[in-house]
Amino acid sequence: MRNRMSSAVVSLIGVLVFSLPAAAQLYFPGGKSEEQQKAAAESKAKLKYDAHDLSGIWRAGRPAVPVPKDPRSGDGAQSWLMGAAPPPPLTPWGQKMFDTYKPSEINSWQSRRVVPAKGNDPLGNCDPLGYPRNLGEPVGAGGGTFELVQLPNKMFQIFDGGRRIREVWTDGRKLPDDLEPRWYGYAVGHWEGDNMIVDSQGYDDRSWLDGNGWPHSEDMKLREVFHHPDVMTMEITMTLDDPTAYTKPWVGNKQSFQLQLPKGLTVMYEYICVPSEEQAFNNGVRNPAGGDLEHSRPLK
Amino acid sequence: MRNSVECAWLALLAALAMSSAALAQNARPAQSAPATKAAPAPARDLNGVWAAPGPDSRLNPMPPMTPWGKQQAALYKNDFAYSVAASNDPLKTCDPQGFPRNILNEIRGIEFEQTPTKMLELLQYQRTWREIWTDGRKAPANVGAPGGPDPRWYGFSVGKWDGDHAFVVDTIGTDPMPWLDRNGDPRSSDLKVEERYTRTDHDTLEMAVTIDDPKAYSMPFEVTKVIYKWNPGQVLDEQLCVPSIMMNYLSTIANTADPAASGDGK
Repeated sequence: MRNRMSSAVVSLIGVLVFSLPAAAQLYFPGGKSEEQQKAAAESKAKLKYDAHDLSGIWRAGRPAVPVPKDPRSGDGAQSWLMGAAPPPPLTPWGQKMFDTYKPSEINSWQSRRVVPAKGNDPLGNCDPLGYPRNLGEPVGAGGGTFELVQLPNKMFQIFDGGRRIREVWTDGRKLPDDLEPRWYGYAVGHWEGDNMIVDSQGYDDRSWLDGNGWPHSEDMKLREVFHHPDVMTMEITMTLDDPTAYTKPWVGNKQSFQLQLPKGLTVMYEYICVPSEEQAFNNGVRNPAGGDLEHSRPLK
Repeated sequence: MRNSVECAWLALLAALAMSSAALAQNARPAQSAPATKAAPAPARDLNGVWAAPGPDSRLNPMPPMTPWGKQQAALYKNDFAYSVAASNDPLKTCDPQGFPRNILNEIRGIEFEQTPTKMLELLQYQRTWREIWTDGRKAPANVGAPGGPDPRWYGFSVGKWDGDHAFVVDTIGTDPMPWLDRNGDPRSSDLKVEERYTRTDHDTLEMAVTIDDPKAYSMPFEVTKVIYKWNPGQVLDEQLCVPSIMMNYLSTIANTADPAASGDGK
């Protein structure tokens, strides 16, 4: 059994195909072994708090915030990324995209969720998650695990989900005006007191904001506030301004992440969506299960 | 046109899907002679963005394969010898390149950044990363064994300095599923890879890769030596292979062009 996540769309499948490495000398995020707990305690005792030191592996786990009721449907319409803050009304364009998107993640908004064969979540083909969605995926693994690496001129967020990289320039450069849309956009950051303010834009609109299928356009601008209130905690508060998709800015609540210990020794999992495996699963299981016999082929 | 699909081994699709910026970058004469002599290499420092001379490493002649290696190689249909529809290159569906194919094929740009416990290698193609432990720990010896960790697409790597300018990386525990390279050369779970990065001056980084896989090859061999150049802009581009676009290309063009090879074109 391979240590990878071949499908993040159906979390259960992810759990089934993902095996927990048991090697004693390796420490993984969320590891509960006695040896890791001991090493974590030793590491924690040596940590010195510095509000400007964001380095380390950070993990949210899911759900990390209470799930509110959506007044329209009665079930969870929240975006985990926005800390469950309610979304503003959509524009006509935003509504059109929202209606077009058919989520199928196992813990996506229940009343919108369709069987994967009838969904169109980009993740169903292992298309890139893009940002900010990559911050909260893969869902089945607890979601929201990344390492933050601070360098003199930039910082990296390196994600276990898809093993992707996002860079945030902190050398004072400005965001260029004419940006070619990218899945991971363009980001710059600066300190204001003990808050690292990250502004980003230039996002490719083919990505979804999250598994619920909240849309965004190429006009989306994000402001994220990274705050490190104590040695074990980091908070990210996100504000999304996308006048093409939403009638006013979507102001999120803080989302908390926990430092993974032992610091410097913990190794991130390798969660990689493999398109050929995903397609085989689509053809062999999801499509026939969803009644789509035209695109069904037995698993080999 | 978005700067996203960069499966350049499919030349046609790449030409269609790459942005003008990406095309301009690929046209860069990365191996041109410097106008002035480069500064000396700093000691024990690979940090920064490095530009590859082209999308593929030039591979050296390989030693004879073992019977197992030959058997595996016979199963792999590369896109040099076969049509795109008939090829079974995993990259055709944007599957992960894994290691070491990611340093032999679609090498593009790389970045090294040293942290207190490891060297990070960031790769432009697929915007992915690998970690090379430099704190003295050993790679796990029990990968794939009962109770041990599973093999990884990118394996387990440890690195150390040999003098002030050569950084040596040893990798084991790789997933045997990816091809070794674009040719479809085989590799097994016994694969060991040594990378030797030698910074010969400030602007020049030489990468030599040695393959040791007794299950697939009769002897160890140096598979390639590549010269990377310092990237003055110090920025990695975004080059992502997008599976849905690739599937659309395969179904509408590649499979249509060779329906017999593709099965039924679906």
